[in-house]
Amino acid sequence: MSVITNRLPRAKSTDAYWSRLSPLGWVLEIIKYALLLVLAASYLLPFYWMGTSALKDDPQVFTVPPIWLPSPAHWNHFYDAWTSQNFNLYFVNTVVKYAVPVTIGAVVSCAVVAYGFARPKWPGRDVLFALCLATMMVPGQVTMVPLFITFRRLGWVGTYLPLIVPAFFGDAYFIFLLRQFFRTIPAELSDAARIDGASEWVILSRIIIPLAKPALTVVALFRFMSAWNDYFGPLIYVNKKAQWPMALAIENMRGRLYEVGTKPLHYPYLMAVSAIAALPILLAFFFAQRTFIEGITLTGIKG
Amino acid sequence: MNTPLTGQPAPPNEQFIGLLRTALRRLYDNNALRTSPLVAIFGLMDEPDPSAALRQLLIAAIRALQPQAGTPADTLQDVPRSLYDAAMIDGANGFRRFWHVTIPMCSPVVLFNLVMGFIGGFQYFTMPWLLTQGGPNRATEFYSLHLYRNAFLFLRMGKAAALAWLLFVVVVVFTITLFKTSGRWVYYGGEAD
Repeated sequence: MSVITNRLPRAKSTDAYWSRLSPLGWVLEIIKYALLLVLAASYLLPFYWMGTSALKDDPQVFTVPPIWLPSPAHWNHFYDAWTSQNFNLYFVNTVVKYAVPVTIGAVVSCAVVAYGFARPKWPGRDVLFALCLATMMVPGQVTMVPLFITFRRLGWVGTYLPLIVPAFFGDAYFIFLLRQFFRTIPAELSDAARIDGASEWVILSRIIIPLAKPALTVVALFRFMSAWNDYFGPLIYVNKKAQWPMALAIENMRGRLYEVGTKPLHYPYLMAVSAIAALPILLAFFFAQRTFIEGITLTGIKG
Repeated sequence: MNTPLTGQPAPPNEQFIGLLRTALRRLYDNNALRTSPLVAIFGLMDEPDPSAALRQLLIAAIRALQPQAGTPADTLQDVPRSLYDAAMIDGANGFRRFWHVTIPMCSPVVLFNLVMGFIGGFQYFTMPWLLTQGGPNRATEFYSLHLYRNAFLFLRMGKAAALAWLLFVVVVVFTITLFKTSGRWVYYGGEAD
C-alpha cells in the first residue's frame, strides 16, 4: 500500500518530482509556470498599482512608463486619507449596520432553506425550488423600482432595513450552492440519526451543518464581500451621510475628483482609502482558507 | 452625490471597476501604452474597433468569473483519496484520473456554475454599461443594456417589461434543459441511486 501512496500525484516529497524530470519536462514546467505567472500578474497588477499609487505624489500616478517603486514613498498618505473624511464612522457603519447582520441572515436562512430542498422529500419540492431559482432570472434593474416603492411604503427608506431584512429570507444563489453541497453528504448519516429519533432540525444542526462548514464559510465570505462592496443598494436606500457605508464614501471621494479637477493628492488619497477598504476582504479570505483546507472527510462512510 | 430616479439615472456602479476604468482611461490616453500587452490583458479599454470592443468585454466577463471558479477548488480537496488510489491501481494516468474521478465528483458544483453562468451571462450589464455603454456602433449592446435603456432612458416601460419577460422565459428554458440533463451527468455522492 505504501508503495502506491508514494506514487500518488500529491506526493509528500517535491524533490523527487523535480529530480525525475527530463529536459523536455523542464521546458514544459517552465512554460507552465510562465503562463501561471502571466495570469496571476493580470490579477495582481491592479492591486499593486493601487497600493503603490497611494504612496505617490499626485503627478506621479499617471506617468508613462509607470513608476513601479515610488520614491519618496509617502506612507503618511494612508493615515491622512483615512482622516480626511470620517472614515472611522463609515467603516463601523459598513461592518456593524450592514455586512455582519446580512452575513448572519444569509448563512442561517440559506442553510435552513437549502436543507429543505436537498434532503427531505415532500410534495411540490422541485417546483418550489425552480421558483426559487427563477427569482435570479429577472435582472435586478427590472425589480429595482417596484422594490423601492415597496420599501418606501413600509417606511424603511433611509435605513439599512431594505438591505438587511431580505437577507434573512434566503438568497437563491446561496440556497442553490448549499443545496448542491448538502446533497453530497452521505444520506446514511442522517438515516442513522433518524433511527436514533432525531428530528429534521436535529439532523440539520448536529450533522449537516458541522459537515458543511466549508460551504457555509463560502456563503459567509461571499455575502460579506458583496455587502462590503455593495454600492448600489446603499445608494438607493441609505441617504443620510452619517449612515454611509465605505462604498458610498469612496465613490463620493471619486465623484469630487471631477468637480475639483486636479487638486493635489486626490488620486493617492483615493487609492490609499481603496487599499485599506480591500484589506478586510483579503484578511477574511486568508482566515477562511484555513476552513477550506481542513475540508471535510466524507470518507468515514464506506459505500 | 447623484441620486437615483431623478434626471439622468445613476448607472449601477461598482466602485472598484469605476476606479479601474478612470485610471485605465487616463493611462490609455498615452500612445505609448496603447500597444502594451498589459492593456490587452486587462481587456477593459474603449476600443474604436467594434469587434475588438466586444471581444474585450467578453474577456472581462470571463475574468470576472474568478469567484465562482473558486468554488470547485474547495470541493476538489474533498474528493476521497481512496478513489484516486483505486483509479491508480487500475492504471489510470493523470488525465484519466481527472476526467473519471475529479470531474464526476465535482459535478454538483459544475452544474451550479453552469446554471449561474447562464443566468449571469444573460444579464451581463455592469461592465459594458460602465465601459462602453453599448458602443461603438452598438457592438456591445447586450440584452440587459437594451432593456435598461428602454426602461430608464426612453421610458418605454411597457416594452422594457416585455423584454424582461422574454429574457425570463429564455433563461427558464435554458435552466430547465440543464436540470433535465443533469440526472445523466451529475453525481451526488450522498444519495443512493
